[in-house]
Amino acid sequence: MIRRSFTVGLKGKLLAIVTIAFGASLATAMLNISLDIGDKVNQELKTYGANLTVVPQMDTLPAEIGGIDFNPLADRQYLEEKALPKLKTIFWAYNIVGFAPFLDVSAQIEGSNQAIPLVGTWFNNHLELPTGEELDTGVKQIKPWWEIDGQWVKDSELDTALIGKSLAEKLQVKPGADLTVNVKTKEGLKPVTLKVQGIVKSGGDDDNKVFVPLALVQKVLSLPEKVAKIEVSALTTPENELARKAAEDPKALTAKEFETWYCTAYVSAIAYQIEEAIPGSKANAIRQVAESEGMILSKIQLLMFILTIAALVSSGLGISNLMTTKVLERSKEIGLMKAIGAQNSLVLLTFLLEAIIIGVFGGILGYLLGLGFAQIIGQSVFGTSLSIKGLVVPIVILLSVFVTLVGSFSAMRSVIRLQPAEVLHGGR
Amino acid sequence: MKKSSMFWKMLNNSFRKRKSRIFVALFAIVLGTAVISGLLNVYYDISVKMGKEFRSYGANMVVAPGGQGENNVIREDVIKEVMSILSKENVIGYTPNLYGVAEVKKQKLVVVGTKLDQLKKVSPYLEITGNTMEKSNSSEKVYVGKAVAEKLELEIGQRLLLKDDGSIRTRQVTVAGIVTSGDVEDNQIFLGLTETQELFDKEGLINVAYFSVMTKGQDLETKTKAINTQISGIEARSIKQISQSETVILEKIRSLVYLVVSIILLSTLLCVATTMMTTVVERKREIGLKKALGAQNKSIMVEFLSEGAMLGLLGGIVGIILGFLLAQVIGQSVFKSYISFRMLLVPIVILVSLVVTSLASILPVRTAANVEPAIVLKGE
Repeated sequence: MIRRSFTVGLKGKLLAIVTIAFGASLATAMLNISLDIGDKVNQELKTYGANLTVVPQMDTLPAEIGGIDFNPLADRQYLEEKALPKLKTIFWAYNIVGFAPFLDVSAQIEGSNQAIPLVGTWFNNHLELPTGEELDTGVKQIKPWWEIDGQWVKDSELDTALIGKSLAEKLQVKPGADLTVNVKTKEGLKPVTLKVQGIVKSGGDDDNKVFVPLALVQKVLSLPEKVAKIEVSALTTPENELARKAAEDPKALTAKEFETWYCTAYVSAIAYQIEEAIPGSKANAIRQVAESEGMILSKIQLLMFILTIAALVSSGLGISNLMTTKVLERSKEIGLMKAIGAQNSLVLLTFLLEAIIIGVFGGILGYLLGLGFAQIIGQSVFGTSLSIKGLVVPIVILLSVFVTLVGSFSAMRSVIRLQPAEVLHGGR
Repeated sequence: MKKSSMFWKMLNNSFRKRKSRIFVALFAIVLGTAVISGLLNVYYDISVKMGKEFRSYGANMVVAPGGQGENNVIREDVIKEVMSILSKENVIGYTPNLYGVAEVKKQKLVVVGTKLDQLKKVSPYLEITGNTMEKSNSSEKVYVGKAVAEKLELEIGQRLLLKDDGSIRTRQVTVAGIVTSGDVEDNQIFLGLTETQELFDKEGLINVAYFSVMTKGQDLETKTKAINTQISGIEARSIKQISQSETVILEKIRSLVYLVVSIILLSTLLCVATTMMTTVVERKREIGLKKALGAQNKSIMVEFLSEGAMLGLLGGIVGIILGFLLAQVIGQSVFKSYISFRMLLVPIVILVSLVVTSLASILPVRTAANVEPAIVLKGE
């Protein structure tokens, strides 16, 4: 009987399947997008730069204004440059997008006694990791907003420099010019001549600084293999109650809580793991980036979640409307079935089975279509494909069957109430 | 006259005799237009709302001394002129800062003179613990960075003596709060601006001012240009780290929401259309009967068209109202603020709903009307 009902009203059934497929594809696309949106937006938010700083545990406090240290006599502690690749060996190594070390010193421009900060760093340094992998990292990765007028500096060319825009205007230097600075070391002023490769436009403090390869500052200061600060850019999960509790004091957690926290990419967990990997270090979450990131992420996820629900409701209603009319349309057939002795339960069963078959077919078809939709959106908005979540398959199929059934349900009630004679007579 | 009264009678009967079916169709239309108008309302507001959320990243514009002079201070009253160019309602907050080095417990520390009440507005990410609301003795109030508090073993309520590095001026203050940022702020002490100016003998002067400004697109660049041309001696810059990233991400979110909303719109329209279509298809017999009684194709089409249009109009109006409520639900739950009502959407949504329902009801009528009445009336 079910087979018959499919072969007879084929055209109408096809319409139903297409409608359901369309609704299911919408649901698939939206679910895939909203499950993946966190990762995608997180990646985009990396343009805000580092969200962790790693500094040595210090006895004294730095008194720095705009990169100039007003406390130069104090003994400073340093981190070992050799320890940097260890960042990529922590539990959440994969989430570390980039990092750069910094070693600052004050210098004076030839013929003036105004102090300027000279910053030694990696620009785009090639690293061979203990795991055997290779990595290029430096300020180019963690400060993607920098606009360079001229050329980037190569880390191996020690006497080259990038100069901040405001400072360049003040000193009237252009790319290609030579710049002599007197570096303040413990032994007194040391002159260094730099070739300006490019001008940095950042809009922030960096506009007043001179950037040189790390090795140069280490050489001038006689501090081989030392760095004063590391900035790390990592993909993180928005903070929650557990993460806040852990950030206060990881020791206050129970063993189970600690494990959950340690194995989740909270910024505090990553900071903790960095401190474990690099001895004598203190890792801080930069709240400006970490906190705001969590805020924006949760807003976007919530927005997408609501849009997904709107999409589900809208497609669900379309489907159930269609099913209602489909059943009502066949009141004559139902009347006939009842007239020749069919029980209510049998009639209902027939319709239910039909609805389930339509729902499954439509659901599978819609799932495949929806994957296409999701990829189109992923490509056009983020330029990368969205990852396909297996979880969506059962959700969509269950959903389409459920919605089809619900849609048929209201019609079923009228099926039970139908008086065969009345229907067959044509008086509806 | 007679013809038109018959027309209305037919329309009236068609609605009254098929209450449940009309209800189903109307329900679909109302829901469809509600989703459409709700999402469109949200879509038009998304830039403004997300832009506001992005201000949690802090200042996006900085005003610093300009020109090639060696002096690195500007007059405090310059802020007022900058504010008038930015227009007050767009500025979320601003901090005029004056930096100096002071000795505290034999440690040299950076003292930042600023508007303490603006700190949280400009940099919402700062965590300030302690009694930040207390107004009393505000001239003696300081916030200290977390690292400072740890190193110098300071507690809230403790009294401190700040001594200007290089002179004999001192100032007695009380720790009112502890600031955590994970960045340089952890190593600084925050004191009221006027008090700092007195301490360092720099009355009416500041080093730099940070602004958190609501912007749209390239707005900020034009504003900084306007400031730089109208006020001499200073240089306004957009903070690229913040403003540029914001523009990029906002654009992505906008296009994402645009795509998603348009897909939902499309599917909603299709659902409404299929519902309308099926309600017409099932009236094939009626059409056949009318034709057998001598009705013209044209008059049948006019009848169905007006039925569809009436449903569309009614559903559209109710849908807009529901949609506005939907937009408020989204606005409240995501952005904690109201979404503004756009008059422009009213005619657009009603027009769309009218066109879709009319088209959806007239298409099947065309095929039905072309069928020979005898065949339809006979049955299959």
